[in-house]
Amino acid sequence: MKQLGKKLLLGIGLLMTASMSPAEELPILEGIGGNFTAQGSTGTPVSLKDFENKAVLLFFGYTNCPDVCPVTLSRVTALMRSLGVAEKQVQVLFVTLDPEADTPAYLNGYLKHFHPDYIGLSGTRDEIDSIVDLFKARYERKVERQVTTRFNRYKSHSDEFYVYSHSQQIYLLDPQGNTRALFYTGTPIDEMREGVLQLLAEADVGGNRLSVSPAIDRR
Amino acid sequence: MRIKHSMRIGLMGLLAFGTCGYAAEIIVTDAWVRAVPLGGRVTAGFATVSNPGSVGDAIIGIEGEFAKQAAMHNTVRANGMAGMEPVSKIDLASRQSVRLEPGGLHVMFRHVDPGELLPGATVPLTFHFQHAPPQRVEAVVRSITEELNTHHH
Repeated sequence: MKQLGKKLLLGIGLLMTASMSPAEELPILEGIGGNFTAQGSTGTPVSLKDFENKAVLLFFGYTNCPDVCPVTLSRVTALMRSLGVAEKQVQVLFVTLDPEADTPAYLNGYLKHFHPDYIGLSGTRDEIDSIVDLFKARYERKVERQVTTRFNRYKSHSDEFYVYSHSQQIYLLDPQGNTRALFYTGTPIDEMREGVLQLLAEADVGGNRLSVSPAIDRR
Repeated sequence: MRIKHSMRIGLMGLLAFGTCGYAAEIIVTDAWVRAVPLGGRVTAGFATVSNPGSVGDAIIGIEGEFAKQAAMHNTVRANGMAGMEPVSKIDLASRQSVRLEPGGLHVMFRHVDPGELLPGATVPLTFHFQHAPPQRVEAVVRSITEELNTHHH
């Protein structure tokens, strides 16, 4: 009964906030995700728990990726900008797969190009791998030797560099750190927006209920 | 003997040039380079390359003066992952065109000079072909925002 009342309230909230009619709550995707701590581009250690009054969009990538990753970042930025006032209730976390090249300081400068509030996560290879494992993500690291060297103007640079193949999920996490939806680089922005707004309405993120007693409210 | 052989090749080349003009007819259009985030180290270049001639050719290299290294790549998706594969040449079959585009074939530039890659600027790209002479084209630098607005609706 209490549950039903809560559902009703949520329903009304959703209609008002999102002006769309979401079918039901987003499912909790069990076994994907969990708390972790890594080196933040903020210059301090960052834990997922630090964002317990926000929804989180988390994805993996690396800045030496010229084709896919910048497009993903830009599409997420377009999504963020489409949220209006709700933009402040969403934290984007970009986890690098190339921590050797992507130091926290480097990530900080790079991500600012896309959005002033994005946080990059770096660390040791082990720290990164444990986040990858938590989120059931996958990646492969390959050494590439230059194939068009005869057209390179400066031979002094190393002929080898690392390229990464990696899974493309964008994880939508609720304030408790549960994974609630998976998007991809190519997911239409409207569809991602709908999912984010649905989660925000459901969790009342940033609103009074959640920031007063987030843990109790959900249970 | 050796000279004769190369003369014959030269003659064939001339004939081919005269009859179907393949060597001069590779057409590079819509060349553009993605603007680089502040302090960025890499970027990608794209173009449409057409071979209206009757003889096949191939792109064997693309260089940009703003980058110290360039490599042709294909973005491939396999086993739920996306990544890049090096490509040593891009075939240009006769009367076909090939698009280098986001999420597919592209040239990756490394050690770039981000100062030259500001949205709206133009930078020269040189395309090298297996048969046709190298071609220098002006590529427009486009921001990702602009790119998304053009590609998505």
